[in-house]
Amino acid sequence: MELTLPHFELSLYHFIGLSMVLFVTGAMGVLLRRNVLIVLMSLELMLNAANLALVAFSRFHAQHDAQVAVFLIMAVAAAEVAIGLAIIVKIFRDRQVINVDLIRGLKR
Amino acid sequence: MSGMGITIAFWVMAAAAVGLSIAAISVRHPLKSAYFLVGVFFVTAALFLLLEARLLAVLQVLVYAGAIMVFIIFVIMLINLRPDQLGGRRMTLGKVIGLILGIGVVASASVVGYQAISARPIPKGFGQVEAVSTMLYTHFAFAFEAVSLLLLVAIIGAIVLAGKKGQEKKD
Repeated sequence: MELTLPHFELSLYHFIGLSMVLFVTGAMGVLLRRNVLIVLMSLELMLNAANLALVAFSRFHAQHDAQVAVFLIMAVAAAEVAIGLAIIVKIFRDRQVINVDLIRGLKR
Repeated sequence: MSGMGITIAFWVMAAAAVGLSIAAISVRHPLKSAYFLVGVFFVTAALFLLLEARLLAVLQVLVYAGAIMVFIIFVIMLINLRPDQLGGRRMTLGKVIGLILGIGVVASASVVGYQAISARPIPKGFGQVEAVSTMLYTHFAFAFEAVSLLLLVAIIGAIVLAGKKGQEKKD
């Protein structure tokens, strides 16, 4: 990426590129890992990457709307983690499994 | 957004964020993964500071690195897996290749579309408590109330799902 940037100025694309890389890393975590806790943490990583992109847009357009959106996304992420972890604890207590491939009770 | 110092700071933080996040999804034990993820969140908070979003940088550390990660680590301790329950092999060669290819495709996509969009000048107090909260309580007042309702639902849902009542029902 550095080859295209002989001069020292950060543009919006730097932040979008970083955000994309972090998002794909999180998506890979969701797809490749089978531990349900790590899948949940990878989801957090994806939300975090989206937040980074929103803050970058906010800074480069000099407007606050996206920052408010990030604030709301943080609240939604907190709610999602609370519910997700409650489900994980419940499943683990009932069946002692943590592998997402083995959690398929709804398939029957 | 110019100046050599800021640019170097960006590249250092970008490398740290990518490295820590790849470490977070590739280690075997969820607790180590959580530690790396806390690192990612701190680096993201630093990037928010670079982008002049000071309120969000503080909230990132408090809410993400503080509350959410502490919650996840508590659940990891609560579940307390034995080593044999961790299951699965480590990252296989195919998974590593897939990860590198996926990140490479996305990174090259962002290089191909590159345009030097530079930042607009920002007003005084940008990204600080007053400016963001004025927007939050005027334009986004409804969304704010909706989120408070969502958090209430999450609290009740978590209690219903994992609370004592379910345990008694099981017995």
